[in-house]
Amino acid sequence: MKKLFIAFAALAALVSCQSLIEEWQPVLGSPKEPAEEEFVNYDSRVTHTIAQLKAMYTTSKTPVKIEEPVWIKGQVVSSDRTGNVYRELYIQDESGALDVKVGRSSMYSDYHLGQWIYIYATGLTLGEYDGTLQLGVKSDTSGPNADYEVAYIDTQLLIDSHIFKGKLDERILPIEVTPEQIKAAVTEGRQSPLWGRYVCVKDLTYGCKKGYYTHVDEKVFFFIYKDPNAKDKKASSNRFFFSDGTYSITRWAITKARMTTFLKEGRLDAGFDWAADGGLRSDRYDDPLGEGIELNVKAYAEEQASWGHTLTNDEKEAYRKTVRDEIIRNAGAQSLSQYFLLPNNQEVAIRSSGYGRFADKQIPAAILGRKDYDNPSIEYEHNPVCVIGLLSLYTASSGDTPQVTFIEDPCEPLEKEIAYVPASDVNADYTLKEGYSTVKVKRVLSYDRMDVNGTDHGRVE
Amino acid sequence: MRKLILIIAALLASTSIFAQEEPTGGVKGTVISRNDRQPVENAKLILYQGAAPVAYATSAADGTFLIENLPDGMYSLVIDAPDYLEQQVGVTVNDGYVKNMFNLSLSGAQKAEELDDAVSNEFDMDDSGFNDNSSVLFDSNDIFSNIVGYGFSSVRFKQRGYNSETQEVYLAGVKLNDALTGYGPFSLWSGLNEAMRTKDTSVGMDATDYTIGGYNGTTNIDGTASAVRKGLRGSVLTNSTLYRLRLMASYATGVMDNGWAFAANVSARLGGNDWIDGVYYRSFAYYLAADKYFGDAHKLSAVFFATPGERGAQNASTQEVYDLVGTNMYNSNWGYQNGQVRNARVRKTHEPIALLKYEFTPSDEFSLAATLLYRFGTNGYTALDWYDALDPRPDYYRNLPSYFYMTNSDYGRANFVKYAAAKEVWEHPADYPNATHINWDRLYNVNRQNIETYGARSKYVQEERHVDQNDLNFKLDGKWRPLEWMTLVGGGQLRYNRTHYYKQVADLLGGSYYLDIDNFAEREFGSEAYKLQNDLDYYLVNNGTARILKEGDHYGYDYMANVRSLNIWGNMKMVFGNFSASFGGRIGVTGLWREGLVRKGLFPGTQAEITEINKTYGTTIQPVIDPMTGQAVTSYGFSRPVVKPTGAVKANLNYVIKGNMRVYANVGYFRDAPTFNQAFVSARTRNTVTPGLTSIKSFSTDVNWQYSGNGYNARLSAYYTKIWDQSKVMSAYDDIQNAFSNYVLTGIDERHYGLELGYKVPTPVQNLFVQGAVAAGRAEYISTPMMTQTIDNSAEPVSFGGKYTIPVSYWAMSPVYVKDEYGNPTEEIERYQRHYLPAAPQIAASVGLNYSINYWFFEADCQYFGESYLDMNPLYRTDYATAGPDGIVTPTEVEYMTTQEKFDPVFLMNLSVGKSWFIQYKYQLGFSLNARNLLNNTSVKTGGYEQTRMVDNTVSKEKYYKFDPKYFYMSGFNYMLNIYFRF
Repeated sequence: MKKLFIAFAALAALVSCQSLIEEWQPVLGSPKEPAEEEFVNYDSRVTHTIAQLKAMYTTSKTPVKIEEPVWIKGQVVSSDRTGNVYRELYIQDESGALDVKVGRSSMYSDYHLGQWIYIYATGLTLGEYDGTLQLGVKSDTSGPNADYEVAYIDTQLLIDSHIFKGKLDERILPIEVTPEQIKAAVTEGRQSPLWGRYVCVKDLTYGCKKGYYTHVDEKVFFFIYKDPNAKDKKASSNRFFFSDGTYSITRWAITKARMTTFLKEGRLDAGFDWAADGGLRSDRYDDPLGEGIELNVKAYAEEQASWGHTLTNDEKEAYRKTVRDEIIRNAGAQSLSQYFLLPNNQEVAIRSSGYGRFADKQIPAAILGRKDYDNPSIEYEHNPVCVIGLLSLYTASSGDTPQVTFIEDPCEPLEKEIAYVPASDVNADYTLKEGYSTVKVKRVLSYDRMDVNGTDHGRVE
Repeated sequence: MRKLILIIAALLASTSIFAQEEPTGGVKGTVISRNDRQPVENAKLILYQGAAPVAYATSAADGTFLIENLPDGMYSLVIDAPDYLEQQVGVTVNDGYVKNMFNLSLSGAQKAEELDDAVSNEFDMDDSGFNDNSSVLFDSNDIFSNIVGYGFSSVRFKQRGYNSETQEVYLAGVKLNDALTGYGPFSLWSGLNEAMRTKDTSVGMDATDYTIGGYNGTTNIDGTASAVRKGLRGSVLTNSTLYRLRLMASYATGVMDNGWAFAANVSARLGGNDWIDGVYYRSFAYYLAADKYFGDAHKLSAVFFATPGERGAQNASTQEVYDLVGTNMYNSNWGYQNGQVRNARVRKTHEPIALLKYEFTPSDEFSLAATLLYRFGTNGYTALDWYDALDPRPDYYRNLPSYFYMTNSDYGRANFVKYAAAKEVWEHPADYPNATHINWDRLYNVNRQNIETYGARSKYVQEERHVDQNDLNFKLDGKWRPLEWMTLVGGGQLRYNRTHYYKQVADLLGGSYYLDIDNFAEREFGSEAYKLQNDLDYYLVNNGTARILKEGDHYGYDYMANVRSLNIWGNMKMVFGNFSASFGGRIGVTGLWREGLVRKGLFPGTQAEITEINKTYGTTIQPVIDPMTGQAVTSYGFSRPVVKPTGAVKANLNYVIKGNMRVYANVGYFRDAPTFNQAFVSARTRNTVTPGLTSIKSFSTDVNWQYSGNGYNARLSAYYTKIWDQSKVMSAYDDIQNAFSNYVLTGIDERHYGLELGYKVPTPVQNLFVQGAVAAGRAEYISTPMMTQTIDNSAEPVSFGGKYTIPVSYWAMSPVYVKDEYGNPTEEIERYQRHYLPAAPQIAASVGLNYSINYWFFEADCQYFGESYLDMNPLYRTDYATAGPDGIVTPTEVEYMTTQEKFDPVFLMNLSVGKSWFIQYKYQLGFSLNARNLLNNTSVKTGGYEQTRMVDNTVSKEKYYKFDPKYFYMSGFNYMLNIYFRF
C-alpha cells in the first residue's frame, strides 16, 4: 500500500504546481473581471514630430528603413467603424499626419479617435503609395505584394513592439482647408503636412473638370471582372469597364449585394432604363458587359471549332449563360471615387469603399444636381457642399488628385456636433495655433457630413 | 489459426472426459458477489484436473452449484461470471465425499466498470461542419466487445466503422438516442456508474426483449432502484487525461421485505488533466430511484436523475500550430482573464430524466411493461461571438507564420519580417500568452471602451448555444411464451420531441449591451437595415430599432425542432433443441418540422405576410424567392413537415453445439428517417427543407462463431453492411463565392465489411490468459453524392454552369496517376484510391496477458491501429475545386485536392493492476490502476477534419490551395487510479 502511495505521489509530481493551480481555476469559478486598461505615457521618449519622420523619405520609390532611434506621437484621426478606411491608422500631430499601416481590421476597437499613440519607428519602414507616405514594415521580397514600398505591420508581436496606446482624449476637430491650401499642397507633393489630416473642405461642387472626356463630364468609373483572380485579369474578355454616363452612379459606392442585383436584373446591360432607377449605366461604351460576354463566346466557339465542333445557337446561348453566371458569382463590392470641384477649379475626389456601411446609400440629389429620387418633379441644381474627412493625395498617370475619405457615415445623423477649425486659424506653415476655435457645421437633413450651402429646395436644416 | 486448432483440441479433450466412469465424489458451494454477498446466478464453473477440464456447472438463482460423480483427486475450479473477475480455487475430493466449498466470492471486474461516457475529451467541432462522436459499446458477455469497448476507446474506434448514431441506446427499455442527431446520449448519466451499472447489451444485429435493434448493437440500461447493487459504496478516482478527481457514493437497499427498494447515487467529477490545458470538469450527478413490488406480479419503478455541470472543450488546430508550440496537445479554446484560466467553449448541461415504469409479470410465460420517460432541462455550449471586431481566436490563420511566408511562391507570401515575428511568438507560447491564447483582458477592454448610444456596446460576447430538449417517450413492451418453443416479444414507442434551439448572451464581457443584428448580413446588406435584423418583428414594432440585448437574452436564432415518431415492433423467437431462430419487424413513421420563433430580416416571409407587414409599417420589404422551388423563403412559423415512413425486417438463426459453441447469423433490412439536423438546409436561419431528402436504407448481414468454455472464450464474425441515400448538411465559408454557404449532400452510400475476432485463451500457467481482439474491415464510400450549395445570406443556390446540383465526383475515390521521371503525375491513371469513413481505425488488433490471483489482477496489452482516415470536405472533391481558377483540370490538381489523408499506424501499450482486501469480513477496500499509452506516444491522431476554405488568390492563377486540416491527438502516457470502499 505504501508503495502505491509513493507511486501515486510520483505521478502527481509529474505535474508542475503551476499547471495544477491553473487546471483548478475554471473549476473554482469564473475569474474576476480584469482591471481597466492602463495606457502608457511615453512623452519623454518622443524624439521626432511626424513631419520630421516623413521628411526622412526623400527619394521616390526608395523606401527608408528607420535605423536611428525614432519615437513619434500623435492622436488618432481615422476610424474604420464605417468600413471606409481599411487596415490603416492615421495619426496626427501639430506638424502633420501619418498613415500607419497597422494592417488589422476593426482597429477602431483598439485605437480610438483622439487617443494618443506612441510609435517606436525604429526598425519600421517609411514608404510611399500613390502619393501618401506610409509607415509599415519592409515589403515582401517577391510575389504580388513586392511592388508596394511598405507592408502592413500585421503581426501582434510587431504591433506590440512598435505601437503603444496612450491616454484617451477628445477627438481632434477637423481643420478647414481652403481651396488655395489644397492646391498648394498638391503642388508641394507628398511632403505636404496636409496629407493625412482630418479636414473640412468647403464649397465643393459635384462634377469633374469640364472637357476631360469627350463623352461625359463626370469621371466615375469601375471595372467588373469575370474572374477577379484570372491570370490575365485585364484581358478584354475578362474585364468590363463601366463609366458614369450621365450622373447615373448616384451612390457613394456599391456593395457586393447591390452589384449582384444589378447584374442579375440586367441593369448593366445596354438598353436598361436607368432613369427610373438611379442606378448604373454603361453607355460610355455601347454595351461593355454584352461585348465582353460575346468575346468569351467567340473564344469558346473557336476552341470548339478547333476540336471540329461548330457551336449551335443554343450552345452559344447556353455558354452566354455560363459566362454571365460566372460574372454574377464573382461580383464584388465596388469602391468609387466621386469627383467634386473647388471654386479654384481644383478637383477633389471623395473615395468610398464598396465594403463601407454607407456604400449603397445615394448621394443627395441636391448635391448631384439631378431630379429628386422621391419626387422627380423637383430638379436640383448642383449645390456646393462642405465635407469632413481624411485628406490624402492620390497620384496617378492622369495627374495628382486630393482625395477625401469619410470616416463616418455621411448619411447618418450625428450623435454629437462635429465642429471644425476655420481656415483662418490655419497659418501659412500649416501648423495649428493652440486652442481650437469651432464653428458649427450646417447640416442637410440626414446628410450630416454633407453641408449643402445655399440650396433653396427645402431639404436644408 | 493455431489458436483455433488449440481450441478445437481442447474441445475434443473435454468430450473424452464424459466417457469416463461415474464415481461418487463431488464439489458443491455457493457463488456470491464479494461486494454485497449476494448470490451470483449463471456463473460458469469449470473443473480442471491438470490442464484438462473434467466437469462443468452453472450456478442456480441462489448461487448454488453441485458437481457430482468425481473421482478422488486434486482439481482446480474456475468460476467465471459476467461483470466479475474470473476466479480459480483448488479443490481436493477425498473418499468419495461431496466437498462443500461454502461461499465462493467473486470480485467485480474493476477495470472497465469505471468508465463513463467521458472516455475522451469533448472535441469542439462546432465550427467545422463536421461532427465527432465516439462510439463505445460494452458487452461483458462478449469477449470482443469487452476488449474493444474500453481498450480501443482512446483512438475513438468505431465498431465495424459505423457512425455512432447507429448504435441504439435504451434506458429502462426506452430508446433514447438523440431525437435530433441520433447520437447515443451517454452524457445524460455520466458519473452515475453505480446506478447505471446493470445493463443488457447486444452486439451487431442480435435481437433483444425490448427491440429488434438495428445493425450496430443495442445497450439497455436498467436504471431502476432494485437493479442497483445493495449497500453503501464510496470511491475516489483520479486520472490524468480527463478530470483530476471523481468522488462517488451510492446507497441501495435492495428489495426489502415490504416490497420497496430505494437507491441513490451522487458523484462529482472535478479538475483538469495532465495533457490538454483549459479542459476541465465541474460536473455533478444525482440519482434517486424507488421500486415498489405489489405481490409477485406488479412492480412500479420511479427514477429521477441528472448530471448537472460543465466541462471545457478541446479544439483542433493545424499541424503548423502544433509543431510551432512543440506539442500536439495545444488547445486554442482558452486564455488568461485577470491571470486566471478561462475556456471559451464550455458545455453546460442540466438535463434531468424522470421515468415511471410499470411491469406486470403474472407468470414466467407472460410479462408486460409500460414506461413513461421525460427528458427536459437545458443544454448549452458557450462560444465567443463578436461584432465587427478582430477575430479573437489565437490560431486564426492570419496570425500564423504561414500567412506571411510560404516556400511555395505560388501563394505569394514572402514577408520574412512578419514571418519571423509570428514564428517567434508561436515558438515561445509561455512568453506570449496573450497572442497564443485568447486574450480575455483585451476583449473586456475593447468592450468597455466602445461607448455608443446606450453605453458600452460589447463587441465581443460569450454566447451560449442552447439545444434544450423536451423529449417525452411512451414505451410499451410485452413478452409472451405461448408454446414451449416459441416466444413472442413486441411493443411500441411513441416519441414527442420539441427542442428549443436558441442562442443567449452568456456574458457581455465588460460591456453593457449587445445588439441583435446579423453581423454577416451587415457586411453584404449594410444599407438595408431590415435585412440585418435577427428579429425583424421587434425592429418594425420598435420604429426601426434593433433589439438591445442584456445577459440572458435570446438572440441570433430562436426556433423549435419538432420530431414525432411512432414505432411498433415485434419479434418471434423459436427454439428447437440446439437450433433457434427469430424473425422480427418494425414499422413506423417519423415527422419533422421546424418552427421559427423569430422573423429573420433576411427571410421575412411569404408574399402575403410581407404585404401585410408593408401595409402595417409602411415598409418596402421584399420576399426572397427560392429559385429552385419558386417558393418564398421563410424563417418565421412552421416549415413544411418532412414525413417519412420507417421500417425494418430482421432474421436471426442460431445453432448451439455442445452447450459451449454457438454459430449464428443475422440478416436485416432497415429504412430509417433522416434526422432533424439533416432535414433542413440551414435550420439556424430558415425553414428550407433539404432538397432531395430521402429515407436512409440499410442492408446488413453477419455470420458468427462463438465459443465459451474450458477457460477459452472466443468470437469470430464476418459482416457486410450497405447503407444508402444518406444526407449531410454543413455550413462553412467558401472563398470562391466569398460567402458563408450551406452545403447539402444527398445520395451518400457506404459499404462496411470485415472480420472481427475476440479471444481469451488459457496458458499452462494457472490463471494466466492470453487475450486480444482483431478488427479488420472496410468502411468505405461507394457513391457519388450530389451537392447543392446555397448562400447563407440569400438562400440563393450557387449556379455551376447553369446547374444548381453538381456531383461530388471524387467523393468515393480519387485517381492515382502514373508518375513521370520527375515524380509528377501524368495523364495516365494508374489506379483509383478508395475513400473511407473518417477517423476510426479500420484495422485494429490487440494482444495481451491477463492474470489474477488472490484478488489481484494484472493485465497488459499491446495494440495496433491502422487505416484511419481524415474526414473529407466535399467541396474539395468537386470538379469545380479541381479545376482551379483557370478552369483547367490537371492530374496534379486532382491528386492534391481529392486524395484522402491516411493517418500513420499506431502502436500502444497499456497496463492494469488491481487488488481488493476484505476487512473483518465486512468491509471491502480496493484499488485499480490503469496506465495507458506506456510508450508516451503523443503523435496519435484520433480525429480531425479538412477545412472548407481555399486559397484562391494565387500567383499563377492556376490552382487552388487547401487550408491546412485540423487534428485532434490522443494524450500521451496517462493513468486512472480508482480507490473504493464498500460495505
